[in-house]
Amino acid sequence: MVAEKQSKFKWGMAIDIDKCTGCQACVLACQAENNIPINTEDNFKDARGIEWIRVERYWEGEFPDVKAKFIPILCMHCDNAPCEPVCPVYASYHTVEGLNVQVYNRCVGTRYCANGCPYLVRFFNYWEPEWPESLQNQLNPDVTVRSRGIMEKCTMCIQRIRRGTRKAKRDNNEVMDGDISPACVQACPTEAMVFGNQKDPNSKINKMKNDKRSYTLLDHLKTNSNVWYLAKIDEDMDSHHEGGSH
Amino acid sequence: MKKLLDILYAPLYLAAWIVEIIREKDKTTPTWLKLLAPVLAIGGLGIFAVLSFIQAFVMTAWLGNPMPVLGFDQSPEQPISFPHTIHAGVGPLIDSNTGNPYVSISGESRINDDGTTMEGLGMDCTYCHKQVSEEAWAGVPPVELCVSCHRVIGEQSNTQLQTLRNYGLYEETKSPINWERVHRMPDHVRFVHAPHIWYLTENPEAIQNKPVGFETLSDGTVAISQVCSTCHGNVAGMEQVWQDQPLKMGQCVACHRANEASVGCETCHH
Repeated sequence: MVAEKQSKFKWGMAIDIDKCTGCQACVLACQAENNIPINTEDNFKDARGIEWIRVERYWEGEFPDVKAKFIPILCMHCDNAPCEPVCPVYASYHTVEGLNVQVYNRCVGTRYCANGCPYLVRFFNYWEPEWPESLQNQLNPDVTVRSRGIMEKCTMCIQRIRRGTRKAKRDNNEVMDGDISPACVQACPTEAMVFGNQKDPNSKINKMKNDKRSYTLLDHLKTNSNVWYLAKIDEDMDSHHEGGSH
Repeated sequence: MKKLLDILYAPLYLAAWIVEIIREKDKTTPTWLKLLAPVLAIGGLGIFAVLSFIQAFVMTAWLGNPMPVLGFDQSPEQPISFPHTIHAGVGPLIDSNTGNPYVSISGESRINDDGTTMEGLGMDCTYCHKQVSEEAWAGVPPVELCVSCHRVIGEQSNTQLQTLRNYGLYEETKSPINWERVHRMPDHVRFVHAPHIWYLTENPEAIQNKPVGFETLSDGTVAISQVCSTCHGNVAGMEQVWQDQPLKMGQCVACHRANEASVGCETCHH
């Protein structure tokens, strides 16, 4: 924690559920950016699919008055992460910039961290990842290709963070709000996702996380999540509740 | 472990046992048993030699560069023997270790027809490795860059240059030059050249293995080509490039600590 105070960055993300249309662009962008192996239908049936960010879908109401609600779930980069103390080899690691990262070369594949994670955002490589010949050259050279037998998870696109910070340092600039964005944030067509530095008082993320609609997932577990969600505004639901109270 | 060694050295034990028998009853021992003893003894020594070799290989790989066997050659043969000496060398091409002119891969001494030593062109590293100050990788130039000079420079009879010119005519080969990689990082390491170049050019005191003719500019910085030797050694003196430094993680961390750079795991492993 002492080291964390020394860094001028503490990264975080805010997601406005009201703007999310469930288009899955973030999922696709993440897949492409982070060399995530191709998930087949069988992978998902076996609960072996790897998606660092996923869009969960909830149906509400009976047909024909149904509503679909979407919520993108990614690693919460908890300050009090349940995955970290259980790792016997310190592969699950907290950086000074407030990110929870997986050190792939330390990982021995015990899967304790995946069992500890309440958000189910850690994924184990049960197979050696394979890409068809035509996709070999689309792999991102800034990201490790994870081999069989190790855990992987969202890094908040640390390769982009490092690129952004080193460019700013070289030009003697401060990292401006919005300079750095993970692939999912960049891809979001409705700008529902916002990434930024929590230590910057004027950053967009700080405004969003202090919004009255903001909440964090599984707050009662006291994981001190760094991903905030802004609740959906649903006029029908509100009027329904008001109707019920009368 | 002891049991394993016992099994491996079993032929030696057996040989010793047979020798013991022979000593006791020299006259009654059959001839085949007498002959078997040296065979087993030599076999045991052979196993001992193989084990020592494996041990030596593992220890050298652990401590530095592995022994140049089993494809672990630090200086792989390239499809075109590009001499860094002539291109990047400064001044007369004399090997400082031996005091003689460099000898090319094909065995020719770097001496002109009139008996004087050839002089290096002193090209800057970034003339070919352009991306080194901007990107993660230094970059190998496209063959067009080679051919842009060598279309006219160099003897027609030089087969290496002729191959190069053929590569330049893409229609003939339909492939770029398939250079052998010399410095190969494991896939879990993400080394980015650019910030290292930026730091070392502005902080020359951190440069190690300083090249011949190292000089600091008037504003305290150095040229980009002066900093490469920290990790790559004296490339300007290599006829065929080899990996000079073991490039172990310990070296990275020691240098990062000394220069107060980040030593978090996520710095390189992500």
